[in-house]
Amino acid sequence: MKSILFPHRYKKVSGFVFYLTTLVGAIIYLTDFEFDSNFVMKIPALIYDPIIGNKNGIWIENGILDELITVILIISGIIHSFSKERMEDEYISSIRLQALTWSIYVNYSLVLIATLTIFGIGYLHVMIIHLFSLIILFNIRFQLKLRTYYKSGTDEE
Amino acid sequence: MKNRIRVFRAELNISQEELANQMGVSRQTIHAIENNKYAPSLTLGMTIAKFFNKTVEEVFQMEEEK
Repeated sequence: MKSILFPHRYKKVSGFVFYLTTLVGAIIYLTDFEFDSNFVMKIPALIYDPIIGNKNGIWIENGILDELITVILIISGIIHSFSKERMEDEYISSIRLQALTWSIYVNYSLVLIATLTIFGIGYLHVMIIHLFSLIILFNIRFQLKLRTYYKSGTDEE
Repeated sequence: MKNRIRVFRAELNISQEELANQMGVSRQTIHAIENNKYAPSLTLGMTIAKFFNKTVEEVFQMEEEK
């Protein structure tokens, strides 16, 4: 079966970008940063539904910092998680699948808990975090499992 | 599932690393298989058996269900 993983050479760079973007995005999000006043430019919109303002036309003025962070975080996270290891074999594929399964279970458990306990505008934060939580959880779990994997068998038997 | 890879490796006097290189997998994978932490795929299992010039059943044994 042909591999659908990214080449190993992308792993380090994508990892650096992913962790840096996650950190920057988290800091910006938690400090109530005004996204819409940064990197303002005219962009095409498939759907534009502002709370106030004109809905007409497909070209809108929008601060794209949040969109940039979202896109960079998701793309770098996917490339980092699904880049081949230096020696990619079936055991690592198994570890990757187990990490993905675990992260789906945990992510959607948290979403269910949040859905049943957080209401109103507060749920908007749940939806925003949910955009990134799966890829972040998977990445962390997979990297931790890989660390254990590489440490195993250090003593030749 | 149990296996006798360590025994056959010792008979041939080869290391986990050498066996891993022959099988096209990492040493950690061979280590995990020997310690029953990972059950190899049919392809890898048959390749290992062929390397040792044994049958799959001689290399791998199903554990009795309790």
